[in-house]
Amino acid sequence: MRSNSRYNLKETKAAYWFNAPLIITAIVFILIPVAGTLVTSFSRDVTFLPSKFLGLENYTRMLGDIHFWQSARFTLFFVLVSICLELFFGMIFALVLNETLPARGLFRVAILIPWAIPIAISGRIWQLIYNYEYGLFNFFVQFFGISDKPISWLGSSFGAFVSVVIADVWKTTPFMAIIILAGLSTIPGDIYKQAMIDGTNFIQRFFNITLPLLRPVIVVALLFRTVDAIRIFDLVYVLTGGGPGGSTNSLSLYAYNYYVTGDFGYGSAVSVAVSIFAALLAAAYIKFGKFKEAIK
Amino acid sequence: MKSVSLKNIRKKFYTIRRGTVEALKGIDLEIEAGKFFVLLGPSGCGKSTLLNIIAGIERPTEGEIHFEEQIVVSAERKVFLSPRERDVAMVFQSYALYPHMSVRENISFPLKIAKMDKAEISRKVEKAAGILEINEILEAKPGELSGGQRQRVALGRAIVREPNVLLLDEPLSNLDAMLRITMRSELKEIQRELNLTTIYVTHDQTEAMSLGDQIAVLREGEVQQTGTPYEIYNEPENLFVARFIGTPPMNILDMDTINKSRRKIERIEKNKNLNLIAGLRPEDVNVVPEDEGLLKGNLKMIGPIGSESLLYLSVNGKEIMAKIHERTSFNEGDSIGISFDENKLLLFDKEKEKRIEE
Amino acid sequence: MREQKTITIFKFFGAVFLLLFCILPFVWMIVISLTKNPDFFASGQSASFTISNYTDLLSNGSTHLIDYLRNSLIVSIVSAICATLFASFSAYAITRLNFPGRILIPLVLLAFSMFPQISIIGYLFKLMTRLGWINTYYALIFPYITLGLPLALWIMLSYLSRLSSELDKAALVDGATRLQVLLKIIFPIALPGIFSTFMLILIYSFNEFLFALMLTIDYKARTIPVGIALFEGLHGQIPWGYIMASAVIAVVPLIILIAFFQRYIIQGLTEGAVKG
Repeated sequence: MRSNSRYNLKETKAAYWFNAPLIITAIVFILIPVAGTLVTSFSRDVTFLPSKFLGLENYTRMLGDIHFWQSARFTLFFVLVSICLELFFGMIFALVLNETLPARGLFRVAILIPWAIPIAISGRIWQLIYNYEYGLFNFFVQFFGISDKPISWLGSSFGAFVSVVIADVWKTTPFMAIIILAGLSTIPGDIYKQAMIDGTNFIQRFFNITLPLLRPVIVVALLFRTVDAIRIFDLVYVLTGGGPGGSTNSLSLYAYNYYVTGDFGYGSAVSVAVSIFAALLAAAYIKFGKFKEAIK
Repeated sequence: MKSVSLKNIRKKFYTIRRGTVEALKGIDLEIEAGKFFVLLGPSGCGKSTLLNIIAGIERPTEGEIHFEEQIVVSAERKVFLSPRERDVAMVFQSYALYPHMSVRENISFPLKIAKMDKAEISRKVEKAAGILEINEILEAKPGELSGGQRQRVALGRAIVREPNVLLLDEPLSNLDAMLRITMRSELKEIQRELNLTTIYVTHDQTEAMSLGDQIAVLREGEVQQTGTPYEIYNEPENLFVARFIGTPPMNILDMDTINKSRRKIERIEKNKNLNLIAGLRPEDVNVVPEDEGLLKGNLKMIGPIGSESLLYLSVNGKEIMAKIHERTSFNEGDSIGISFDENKLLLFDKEKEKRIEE
Repeated sequence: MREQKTITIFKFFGAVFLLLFCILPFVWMIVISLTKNPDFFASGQSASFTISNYTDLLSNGSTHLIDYLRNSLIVSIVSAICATLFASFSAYAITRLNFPGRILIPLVLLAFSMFPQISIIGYLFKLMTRLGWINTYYALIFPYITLGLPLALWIMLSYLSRLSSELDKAALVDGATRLQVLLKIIFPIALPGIFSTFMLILIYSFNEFLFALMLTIDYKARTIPVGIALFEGLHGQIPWGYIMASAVIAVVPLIILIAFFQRYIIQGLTEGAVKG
């Protein structure tokens, strides 16, 4: 800031007082820990062992670790599939909610339920639903005759992947739906009337008008959800514990396991990897989304 | 361009709060092909609903609409043609331009949906753009345009289809006064040039009078009168139409006041048995020296409006307005007299509010 | 119009699907919580509904269910209040005052919010150990405040930027200090936004898992999501009835919250995200 005359000193001082709580909290509890993790990732930090500087050793170990790559693959596939499904169902729900419905309050509460229940808790519910012997899904499977043998939802790697995706989509679709709904409400009703007069049917209206006008909202929602989905931990911890055989080990869970066994150095390295993935994806969105931010 | 015929159009709405609301109570209208037809009325009279029903974005509870001989919608015979099938075009008050498409894309949109071939679309778009003089802004987006330009684009999108009927829902309301007047004449010109059957909704009676070949005055879902601007103005069928048309509104004189007249008014004598009230337009009120007038009064205030003056008079305790074309020689507070041509006095039945003819 | 009818049909089925989708697991949780044999339909036995799961849990202190619930409520309420306050103060300064860093602070905070929790918790754990805060409320409250700040700031920014600063100017002319303006004038008017923010942070804090898992050890500070996640049974048999019953107890405050305040919650979410 060359021209300090732009800023009123009195205002600036007041501003800093107002911002102090937020800034201090953020620095102490986000910046410092993140920096600390970064530093730790470059050292050997294992309980009961003397720590020493390792340079990039943790990272080279990580890149050669097939379990790391397994986790990375799972996490990325999970994110991809989950986001697509959330978007799809979220859009449908938003369209339904956008119409005038009786008992709107009921629908709004219903749609908040999956989002409001802690994942740790809903994870246990799903654990029960996926139960081999007496889970709800296997009951349906046998009741509707989809297969004569019960499906091992949590016992096979593919089954576990599907189970995790379904449970996650259940929880996060409401969020998507609410965001898309907000976006829908910004489209003036006259535009749809005009489109009707111009001779479109519902599908044409959806693709030619609704979707293009929703694009900014969708991109932002996807950005937040993607960054969020990459750090998935609660669900896999409770539902599958990373299994079977580490097939549903998310990157965060993988790092956590090292923390728990005391190897903070390696765990930190994996954590940094997750952060980098998140940052890359965010950057990709920002570039692809062509943000012309109108910052206040 | 087709003629439009409405028979007994009724529309009922079922709301939770107010029960059944009857927005349209049996509308019958005949609109000739190629004519500029105005639906005039205050807010809430149902004119927009009627337009929507003609367009096909709402359904009538009862009644039928014909375009020429073709039944376009019939509640009784269960016929319903979509807007596209009716080949109607509409311009909304908000213009409803697609914000994410360029002007060209906006205008070609209906043609694209109709699967017209590209070269044909291009040709028609250029032609419409030419008529509305928007060739320069074809590649711009609505967000970059002024209100007047947006209005032209909306019109362009409507006429590009060469529709059977053109529907306009208060399209000029969002423009500033000067622009509104310019657009009015342009609109009329375009309509004449293309010979489009046009149905125009407005609450502004000046607009209706200057644009319409025929006007239908609506009130609370019913047609009060249909006619040419001249007929509506000079031969209003009821009190509502008489007062709604004309600025300032027609003066209403009760018999009390009339009976104080210095001379017996023949027409009133003839109809003495009926319960009457009389109407007199401000421009038909002559302000004269006190002893020369038919009635006596007091000049309360003078409101000059350019080349004309509005005089606020008090006659027999009631306020009467006069509109004269020059400065008055009288001053505020003067006692004055009022005279008028008896033929310009309109007589109404007090209860039915209908005009008495002779 | 044939199309109108098809749309109505889709609308209807869509609505039904929505309700089933959202409520089914929830309802199942309640059903299982009321039975002693969760495999009732598979084994053909009758469900034998009973509330004994609940009574057992609530009377038996060793499950610490009430402790978990209490911890969760205290931690989330305190964090939500503080996060909302901090964010409101900052949002006020950003929307009303001109100072270097005005644009930077929200953006940097946004960037911070993208860091995965796992990259924070490692070092945070050591920090907390050194401070001696492990297994206390402090260990959770401060991180939760921090986690909630980005969302809280964006919502409050969106809200306050819409309030005209003329009110401020009038009060300042009347001799109020900036702080007084914020507390006496802005806060009352922005109450809906503040409330929405509070609700959202409350729910997010209540649901938080990883930090609670690593930073607490036992019933003294452990929160209910962790409690339920770790609920194992004896003899290798998972006591689903008990788990579901404790889940219901845990979830009841949340359901009450969203039942009464759904409008605020939804408003807060849309403010935070559509604005972004």
